[in-house]
Amino acid sequence: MWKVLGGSVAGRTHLARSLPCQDASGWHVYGEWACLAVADGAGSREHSDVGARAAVAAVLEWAASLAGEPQLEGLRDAFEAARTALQESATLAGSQADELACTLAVAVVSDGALLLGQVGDTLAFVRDSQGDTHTIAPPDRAEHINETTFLTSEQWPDTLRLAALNDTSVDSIALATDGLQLKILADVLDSTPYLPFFEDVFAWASSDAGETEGLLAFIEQLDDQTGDDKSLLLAVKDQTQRT
Amino acid sequence: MSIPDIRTNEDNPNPRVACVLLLDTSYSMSERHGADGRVPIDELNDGFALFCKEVGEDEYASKRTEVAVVTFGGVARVAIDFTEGRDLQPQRFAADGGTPMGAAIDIAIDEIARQKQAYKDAGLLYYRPWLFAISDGAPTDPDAFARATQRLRDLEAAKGINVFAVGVGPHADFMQLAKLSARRDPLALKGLSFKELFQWLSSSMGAVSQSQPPTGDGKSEKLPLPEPTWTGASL
Repeated sequence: MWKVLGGSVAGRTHLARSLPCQDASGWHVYGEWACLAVADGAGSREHSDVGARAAVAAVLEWAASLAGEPQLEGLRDAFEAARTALQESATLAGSQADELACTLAVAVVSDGALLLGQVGDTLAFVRDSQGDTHTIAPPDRAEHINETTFLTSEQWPDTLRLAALNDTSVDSIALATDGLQLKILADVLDSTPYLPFFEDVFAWASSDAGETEGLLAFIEQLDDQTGDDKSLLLAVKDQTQRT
Repeated sequence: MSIPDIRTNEDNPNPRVACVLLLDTSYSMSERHGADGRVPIDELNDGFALFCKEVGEDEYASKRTEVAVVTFGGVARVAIDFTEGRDLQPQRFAADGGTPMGAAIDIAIDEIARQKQAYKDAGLLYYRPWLFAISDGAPTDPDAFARATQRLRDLEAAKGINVFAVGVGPHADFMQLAKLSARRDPLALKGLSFKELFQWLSSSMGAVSQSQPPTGDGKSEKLPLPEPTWTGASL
């Protein structure tokens, strides 16, 4: 069983400019496996908050429609579903899909495997039972901060980063949008994790105290140095229910 | 509910934004304007002094913006090397000679490339740099201008730079200024409202040095900039 917590909060500059939170996130636990998604709507696009929410909702619908645990290649379907949702939302709003541009990260965790897909500058981390935390499939560093490839780009299939870890030693994972990068990365150029953060946050998430409300309060008060929206989802193996 | 005690990295440096001001200091900038007889170069110098003060006082721009000034009056040259907002000192530029804008654009592009490399070497993240050009005339180095503007538009197309061109007074050549950018039309300065222009520029630097640069792969990029009161057009 997996315990999942987290969410998205509006950044300082978004609040100051009365912009909506353009990050979105969500998850669902299906018995032994869980599906997590985070999306970051492009700051420069009119309806990217709608896009980010539509993408996350589409991924969770895709997961709910599956008969069993998805396989790695099946993850592409989640991204296709999200792209279709962006197109449909754009049509409804009388807008172009491009105006709903967002990044997207999808993780599927089960007892024996972790599947991960990412488009854009999202960040994903796993910790194994030895306690080592690694960044999985980090984004290519775009030249400028906050510029990346979006799901609405025609190039998205070339930039889709798929990763599968078929082992039972993964005990915690984290998905984040780029708003948190300066706080949770040791080195922003190669996306290595800042280990004290992950040590603390995974330990807290696994404890009885760990719940969504506390995590959101934590990321909300964090000065991320950019004023961007912030998203963090955590999934930890629920040891208490494994006996 | 209490906020959990979780350590975060407090040592990552703030992201940077580089801005090159390309200022026309040709002789015509010293010619009196209109009924009140104000002198453009004086107004520009006063505006630039205000810009230095406001960038230096902005919570974000002071630490994240680095400004260089390239002047073109007779010769094109770097008048001020890249300087952090909080250390930027006003300088009064003198107006003299022709308008070698092409040479100035070349210098600005080289300076920006060097600054980007310095950021990379230092492991700093940076926003897309700015080039902000102001001229009251037409380039007097047409061949160099044709080559330099092509280079600039290529850099812009590769999303390597944000370009703004501003024309001052009745003799500004907007046909030529339009060649600086395929993305933004040149803007006309209202009268000699250099102060408003430079105030707008310092506010804009404050805005882009926090977040929300133009992003991505689309056609509809928007910059989170204040309303420009110094021109009739909108951005």
